[in-house]
Amino acid sequence: MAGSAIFSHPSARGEVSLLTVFLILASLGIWTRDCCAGASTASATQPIAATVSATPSATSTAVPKLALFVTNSDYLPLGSRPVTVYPLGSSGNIAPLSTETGTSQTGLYHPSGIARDSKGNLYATNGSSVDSVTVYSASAVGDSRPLATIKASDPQGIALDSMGNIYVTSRGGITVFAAGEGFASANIGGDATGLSNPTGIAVDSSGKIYVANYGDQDGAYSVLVFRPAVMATSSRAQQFQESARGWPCPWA
Amino acid sequence: MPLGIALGRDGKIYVANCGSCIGDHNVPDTVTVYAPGSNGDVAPIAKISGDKTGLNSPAGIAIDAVGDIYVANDVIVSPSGGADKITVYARGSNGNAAPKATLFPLGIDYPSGILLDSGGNLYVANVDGGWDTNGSITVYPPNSLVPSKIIGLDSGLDSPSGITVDRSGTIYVANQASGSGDLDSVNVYAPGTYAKGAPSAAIIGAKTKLAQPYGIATDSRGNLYVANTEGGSDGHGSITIYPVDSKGNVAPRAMIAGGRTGLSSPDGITLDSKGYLYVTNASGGPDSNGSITIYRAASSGNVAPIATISNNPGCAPCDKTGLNSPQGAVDSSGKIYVVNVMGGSVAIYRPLGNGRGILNKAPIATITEAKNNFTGGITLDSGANIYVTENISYVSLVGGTGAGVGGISIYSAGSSGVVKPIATISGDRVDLANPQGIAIGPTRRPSR
Repeated sequence: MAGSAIFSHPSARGEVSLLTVFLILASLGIWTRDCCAGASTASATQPIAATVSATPSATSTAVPKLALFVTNSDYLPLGSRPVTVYPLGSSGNIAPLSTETGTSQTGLYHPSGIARDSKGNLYATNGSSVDSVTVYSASAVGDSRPLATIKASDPQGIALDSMGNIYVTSRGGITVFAAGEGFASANIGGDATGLSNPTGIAVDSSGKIYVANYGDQDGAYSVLVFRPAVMATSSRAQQFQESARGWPCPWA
Repeated sequence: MPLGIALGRDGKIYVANCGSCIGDHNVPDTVTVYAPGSNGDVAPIAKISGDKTGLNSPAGIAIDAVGDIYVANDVIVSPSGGADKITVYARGSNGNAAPKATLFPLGIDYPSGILLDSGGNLYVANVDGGWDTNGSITVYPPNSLVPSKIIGLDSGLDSPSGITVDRSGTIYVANQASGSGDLDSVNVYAPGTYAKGAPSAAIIGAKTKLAQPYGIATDSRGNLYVANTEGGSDGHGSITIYPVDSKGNVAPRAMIAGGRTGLSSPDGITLDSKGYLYVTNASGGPDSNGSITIYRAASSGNVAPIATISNNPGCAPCDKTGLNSPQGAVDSSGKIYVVNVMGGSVAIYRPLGNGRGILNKAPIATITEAKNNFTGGITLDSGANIYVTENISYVSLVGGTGAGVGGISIYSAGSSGVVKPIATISGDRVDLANPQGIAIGPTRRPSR
């Protein structure tokens, strides 16, 4: 049987020569003008299609390898890719051609907040089990590693000021990371602040900080506005964080 | 309750309040707006709330250059369901205001944070984005529902079904987006990408008339044919046809739908060498067990098929076709191959030839799968060997769809009866999960 050659010929994994294609088609009696025209269509449900689509061309210098393309409608239990691709002629328990790793390199983990700096870099807050702010270059795409990863406890909302300082809300209040640094330069939290599970955050051009205060079970919903943060230097950061609790008081 | 906050250029303070997030259905979802410099227990200067707003557990909020308000909805699953969406309200909206636009961009998945840059590009943090569901960031140019880029393990696909690959290696995928009709799309991926990352183009939006698209095919000119299992003028499904290189929110050039078409949950589609359209209908025929309807080239509208393979009306017991929730198509010699998903078989019928009207004819060959695990994908290689998708094992998930570990069985050309496949692709390394569509195509663009 003509077609079986593509399974039994070890060197033919995924490749069928033009001659082979022609001979198979000729042997099946379907290498006619009409069939060629029809064969140039392709479908998930249409046989021959793409295989014959490697129609001989006077200018063609190479025949692309043929492959099986499969859609997967479930991601469970394997976390499968939506489309997996196998060399034509494959058999058995083989890994797909797709080269993505099983685990994302992005560091994204259920991101809730997003921000962007003047260079177009993107910032995302990642949930409680990874506790991070990840930063991506303006050119990042797909499964990209972050430019930087900043440790932050259960971050929620995120905003940047005009200087590039990074403001992050978390259950404990607001933490400000100095532009280009990985350390906290200011920390706003404590009973006097009125902060209770703050989420969204915005900073205006003067540095005032606006917070959507989600509140607690008692329903202490509010928007809190804080004066511009006073940034500590690197050497003073730890000391500042310890003394800064309760400062500054919210306007509201 | 306040989740998102944004500042307008005029200093106004905009807040997205997620009432439904606290589990009390009496607390409404709202957007409140406060005057610049507000302090204390002040009333908002505007409050967007009510049944016309489309707000549904809002989270992120952003304001564009002209003051329009963008809100990310569905950060949690609300009791009323609802789809992931971005609602856009005109500047100055107040009260029970309908959004000026409701966006269902490709790739959003529990959108949380959103922002707009000065160029009007929309950035979305998706809590559950990506096929690993660990999250993604999607970026949309102005007035585009298709992301210009995605960060994360995300291809903009969610429960894809039909797939086809044209001679250039371009990949087309019918995307059902977990049953949310507003997110249906046909995604297009450049040759060699294996459908990774953001699609190079997509057909998506209300104008497209896509409705649970399943089967997909292209003709030699690159025109795209889609079998929609829902929608159409009578709700029984449709065939929508798009010119080559269509993208975005485009109307189909032609649409086959209506009571005369015989369409009934169409799921498979292909063309023969004459351009005739062959459509498998999962619930077609008088007995609703399935049918194959065949249309002339360039058919459009509420048009009757030139032939229908099914049992005769009023004669369900005498059904010779054996069709049982069929999917499949035709090869270029004219033979018609279908996989009967409910029947656990592959049936092969003679070429249509001069057959017209109702054709209650038996298949010339039937391949039987004892385990009845076929999932519906079927294609042939150049040797007429038959490739079908299946679930090797299947786990039923309570309250939702099941999850299957997939496989591909390959039957030699001319097989009939209870036969073993000549090859199978399955196992823990293959990464198949409830496979639905299968196609053969080149892995890259042909060099010239």
